[in-house]
Amino acid sequence: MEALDGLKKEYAEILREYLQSRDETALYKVSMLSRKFQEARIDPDRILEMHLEVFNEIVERVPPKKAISTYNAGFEVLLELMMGYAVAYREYVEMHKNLYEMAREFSEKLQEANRLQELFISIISHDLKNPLTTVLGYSELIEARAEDEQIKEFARKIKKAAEKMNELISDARTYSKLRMGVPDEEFKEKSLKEVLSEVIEDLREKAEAKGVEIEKAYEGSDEAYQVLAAEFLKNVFANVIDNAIKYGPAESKVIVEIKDEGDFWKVGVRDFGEGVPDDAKKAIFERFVRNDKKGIKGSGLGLAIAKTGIEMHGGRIWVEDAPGGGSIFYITIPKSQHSDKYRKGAKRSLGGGRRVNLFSSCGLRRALLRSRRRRQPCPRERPSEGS
Amino acid sequence: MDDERVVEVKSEYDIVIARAVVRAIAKDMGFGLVDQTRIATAVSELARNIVVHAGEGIILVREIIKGGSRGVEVLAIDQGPGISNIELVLRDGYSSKGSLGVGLGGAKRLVDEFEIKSAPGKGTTVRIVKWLSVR
Repeated sequence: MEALDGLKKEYAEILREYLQSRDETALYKVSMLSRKFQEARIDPDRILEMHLEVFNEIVERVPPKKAISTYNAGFEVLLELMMGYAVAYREYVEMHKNLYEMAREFSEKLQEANRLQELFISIISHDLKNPLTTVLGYSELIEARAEDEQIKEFARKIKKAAEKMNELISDARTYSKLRMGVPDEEFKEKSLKEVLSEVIEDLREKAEAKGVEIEKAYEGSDEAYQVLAAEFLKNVFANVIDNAIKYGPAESKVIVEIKDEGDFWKVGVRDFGEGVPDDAKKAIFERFVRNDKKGIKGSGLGLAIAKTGIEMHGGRIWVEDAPGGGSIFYITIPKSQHSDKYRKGAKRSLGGGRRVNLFSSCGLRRALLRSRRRRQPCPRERPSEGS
Repeated sequence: MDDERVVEVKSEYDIVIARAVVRAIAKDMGFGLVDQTRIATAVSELARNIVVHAGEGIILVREIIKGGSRGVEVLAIDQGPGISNIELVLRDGYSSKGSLGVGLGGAKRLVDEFEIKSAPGKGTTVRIVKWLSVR
């Protein structure tokens, strides 16, 4: 109650001044002071108490003859204070209301945007993919049946383009889906080593085609590799290892290592490519930024997907230069027993499935008003319906 | 009409004068202490508005009679920059230039009638009336 002590002093001074002079100046001062009482969230009851305390102190020495007029004058000052306070309070309430309205409109717009995004994803994934399947299928058929070598070549080109498009659509869909959030129940206890093995197995063919060997260098014991992971974790590593194969030279190696780092497992994926220039080290994790290299397929979403995906798990991803050339992509993921600690925080900063909540009227109001008194619990806002 | 008082408003000191004048007139007319304070607070804000936004202006205070009711009318006139968006200014919580006062929206709620005329570059005139309720 330091605020009150300071204000009480100011008030006492003004009250004393008015009782002596009956000058309007004092009333004006009090009117200005009233706002500070409201800003300090001091209760009206407390203000009354304060007035009586201050007033009694001052009038103790007033002769009985003057008592009534002094009492009235004191009341005038109090009235001025309360009038200003009431107006300031009313303004405060109205501001709340305005903010609430603004936040509600914003939240509605956001939900509409989310709905559109979902619609867009469904258009992408179904309406675009289906015709593409036809293109792919027939171009393969033409390639197989045509006798003219040139026509075969045309068909191959069509097929290649369609495959690229297919990949792009898949990435866009995955990325958008991820941004919508993954429900908690999809996170399950898994062995990091197994996840990695599956990923590597899936990519083996691709690696072999380029003469790339994937080497595993794990430290720690088997049972220690437990993590809490969504199905999606595979995509995170797949994108990174796939990149390493793509950007590394032919007939080289990709080394996948796991290290024990306190609460986390740290996975390193090393390639022997040209490395990532310093100014691109951050940007490559943004959407549609690609370290340009001719002839490399990709939507530019792969690392953005990996970043979003790993942050959802409470981990991080970044890239460093490898000693002796090439780069190492590091990915950390909390050990399963620590997962909750990091995952929740990550989820909040990401928004995830509860994105609307971040911008909830209550949250915004609180953030803007920083109500010091009576912090009321935020009513849980329902996520957009039908999502 | 004969009892019109004019206060030139140029500084914070004049705000106090304007308040005192309007309070005295309201008291003479028989307004209770609470209404006196309401009017004084509203005038405070009008005067403050003049000082902060226009630099100088005048406050006119007079008693009016309409259909058997008596009231106090206050005009606050300035030749300042004017207001381009009156609606916005009247919204509660709005206060440009960080005036410490209650804002015009706050003043509006303390009186029975509130009118504002303004255009950018043409100054601002605010008229407020508080009626004396017959007891």
